[in-house]
Amino acid sequence: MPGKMRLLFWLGLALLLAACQPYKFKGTEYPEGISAEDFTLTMTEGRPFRLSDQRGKIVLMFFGFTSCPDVCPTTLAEAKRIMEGLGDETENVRFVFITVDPERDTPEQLGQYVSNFHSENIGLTGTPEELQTVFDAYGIYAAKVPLEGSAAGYTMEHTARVFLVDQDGRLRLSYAFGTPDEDILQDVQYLLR
Amino acid sequence: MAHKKLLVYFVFPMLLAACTSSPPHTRISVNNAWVRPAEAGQNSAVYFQIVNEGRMGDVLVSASSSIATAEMHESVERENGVMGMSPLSSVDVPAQSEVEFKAGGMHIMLINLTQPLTAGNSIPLTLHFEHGGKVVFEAEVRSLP
Ligand SMILES: [Cu+2]
Repeated sequence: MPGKMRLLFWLGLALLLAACQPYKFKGTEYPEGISAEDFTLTMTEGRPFRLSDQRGKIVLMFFGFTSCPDVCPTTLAEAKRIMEGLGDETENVRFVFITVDPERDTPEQLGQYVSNFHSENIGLTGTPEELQTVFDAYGIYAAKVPLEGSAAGYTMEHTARVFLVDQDGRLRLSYAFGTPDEDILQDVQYLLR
Repeated sequence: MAHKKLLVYFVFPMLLAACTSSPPHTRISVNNAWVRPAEAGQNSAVYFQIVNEGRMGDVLVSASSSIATAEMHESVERENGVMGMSPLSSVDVPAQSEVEFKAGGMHIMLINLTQPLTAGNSIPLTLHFEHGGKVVFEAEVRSLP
């Protein structure tokens, strides 16, 4: 049966090639070897948080503010699903929420806000100067915009991407607002392998 | 005789009442309403679908709530992944159409809540339409659609 054998051969080869395809990340990749700019900010209970102390863990970073009703809670709800989807591996991932509105976000408010979504979430704040340094390092745009005639006073327009720093402290990936949580989860699980 | 009296004193007024109070042209309903959990003093957002089964378009002109200031907003992407939010003065609801308020898009923003919103509870909300008048509905507190 040479015909059948040949078919089997090609089929096997195709399967093998498919299996060898390198993993395609769902997020936007950064050029290889970019180390994430280190920073130290303050956690909501007052202790310092240094990014480079997180080696060995994957850090997911998002910049937002607590009076944000829609975009920030949407991302935090997704982060919660990612953390839950990780199961036992949750301890190898940190989700960090950095305020872009230190004027209104008191540490207490920030702490309560982020932990309402997931108990392990970390809220970070600092002086406007400290925060601006971090924004600049990660290309974060954040600006106060008055809301005409609104009881909310003003809103913060801000970059709403999620950034991923890998276990070796490299800035690896970022995700647009609205990226399905399964996509981020898949990338994180791949990197944890 | 008794018949005629009944007609004059009972049926006519009823008919009249029906004519003045019924929403004349639109058939609006609000479905799948949910609202994000939040602490008292904080903000939240309400999402839902408005369905207009009528043959006339309508316009959503405002929203109100007894536990917060309610405003109509839309989240919009500016550029380079920057998200902003703009107030909406009105939202068209064309005839035979469905308009969706959803995460990352249009929402009713609840500002400065006087009570916490706890998952599992429900809160009443009112939408005001130009033709259809008030539509009152309940939104369930939960963190995901
Ligand atoms: Cu809003």
